[in-house]
Amino acid sequence: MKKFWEIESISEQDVTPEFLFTNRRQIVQRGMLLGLVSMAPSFLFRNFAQAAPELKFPAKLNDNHKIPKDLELTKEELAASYNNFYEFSLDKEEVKKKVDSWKLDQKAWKVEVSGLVESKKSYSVEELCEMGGGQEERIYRFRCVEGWSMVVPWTGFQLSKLIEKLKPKTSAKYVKFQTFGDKKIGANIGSLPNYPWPYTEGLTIEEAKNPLTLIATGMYGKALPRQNGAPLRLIVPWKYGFKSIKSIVKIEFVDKQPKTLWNDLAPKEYGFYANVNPQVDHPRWSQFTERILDSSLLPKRKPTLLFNGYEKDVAHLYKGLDLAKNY
Amino acid sequence: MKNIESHIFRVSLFLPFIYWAYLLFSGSLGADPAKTLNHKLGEFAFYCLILNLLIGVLISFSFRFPKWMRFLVRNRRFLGIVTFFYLIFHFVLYLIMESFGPQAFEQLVTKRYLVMGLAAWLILLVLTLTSNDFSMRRLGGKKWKNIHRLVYLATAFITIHVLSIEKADLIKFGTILALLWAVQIFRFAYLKLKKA
Repeated sequence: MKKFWEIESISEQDVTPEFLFTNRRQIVQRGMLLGLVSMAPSFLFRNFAQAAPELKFPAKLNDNHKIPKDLELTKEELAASYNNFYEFSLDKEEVKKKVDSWKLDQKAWKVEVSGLVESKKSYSVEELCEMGGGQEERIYRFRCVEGWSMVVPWTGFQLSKLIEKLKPKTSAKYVKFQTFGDKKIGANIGSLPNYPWPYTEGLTIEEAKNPLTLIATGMYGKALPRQNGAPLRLIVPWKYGFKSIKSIVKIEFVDKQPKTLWNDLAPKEYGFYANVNPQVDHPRWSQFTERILDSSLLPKRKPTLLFNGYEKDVAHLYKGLDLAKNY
Repeated sequence: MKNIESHIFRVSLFLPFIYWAYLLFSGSLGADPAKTLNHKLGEFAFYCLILNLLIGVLISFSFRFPKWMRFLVRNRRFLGIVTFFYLIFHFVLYLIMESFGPQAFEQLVTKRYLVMGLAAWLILLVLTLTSNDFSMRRLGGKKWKNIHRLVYLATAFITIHVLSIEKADLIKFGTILALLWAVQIFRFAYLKLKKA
């Protein structure tokens, strides 16, 4: 029998023309590159020998994801200086200073793809990006479980396109993501020994394949700053921010719901789904409204929207599910 | 000047307030100044309360304060009032952060750390209002003292409030509070024994 999401997934094909369009541009680009290389000196040839083209910023804005109505972009310096990244510090405004000692070599960064998938391999960021159909810009609302929100222009690619290329087996029901767990990078890991490191997050395969789900490599038209999860991170705009795992080193396709860090530490406070929902309080505070971060003493508040305002794109994923129980 | 330590002490209790006001108006409190400031206000009031309780403990143990420390005993009332001064801003800033919306008041009676915070705040309000000589005379020493013993109940509420704050530094505050309560229990036992 078909599940509801399989029926619904027909609508995803609306996206296909755009996907083809992006691909076509790439084919043209690559053709031009080939032309250049054929008459280029050796240093350009070395470039050609790389599997995938370099990431380019800024990328073209996806017209379906322009700035949300009635909202302003969060100031770039604010979005880059207010980050939860416990591997570095519990203090959101300390993280930016603490990442200084992290000598990130983006070229050497590898993401291991494993589990119930055909293409088990380690990939570079560029390779993943190419498989994901290349970069585009999307402006998304970002709602933290702590009660604040931002509006951020992300650069990245649609995770569903990458998943298509990786060919997961039909037994893959969930996608598990992991951050580095290296104390040499994030010194604060050692100060929190009771945390189940490395930071792990997960999505159902349908959530991962939803066209909204993004792998971001940049923001504000530039590569991601380290504090925001360089060189690549997940962005799931209808879920609380902690689901959008930073600095991914591993993507695993699994058949059972993976153990995720916050859900493991405090299951009553942080659910596996963690969908933004004004009707479901955090046990310690209300989620009914949110503070729009703007570094003023009198922050603006707005009502929090179900699925962070992406209801029409994702509500079908949770048909028949009690959202109060499956928070 | 005779009470130079007293003057320095009294003025210094307001230095954090002035410093934070400066940080606020120079835009140095970061992305979420209301929340940052509110944590600072609450934390400072917490230290003031603990200092006050510790002075009480020393008095109970008949500690002979050296001359240079007597300003602490003389300024307990002042310290208590300043504590509540910070707590007024702490509470008002909470309401500002919640834009005085309905959820601000709903949370105050439904969420544990806020229920505890509000209960402690109300007790300390009563203690502040009855801290003057007139109230002492009006209530009489014994009744006044009993009312002011409510500070221990407020401290119990504050213990829960502090430890259930999102991202509280549990090691730091847990240690401080554990020591504080250990000292209080020890004092209680000591006073019981002395009476017997």
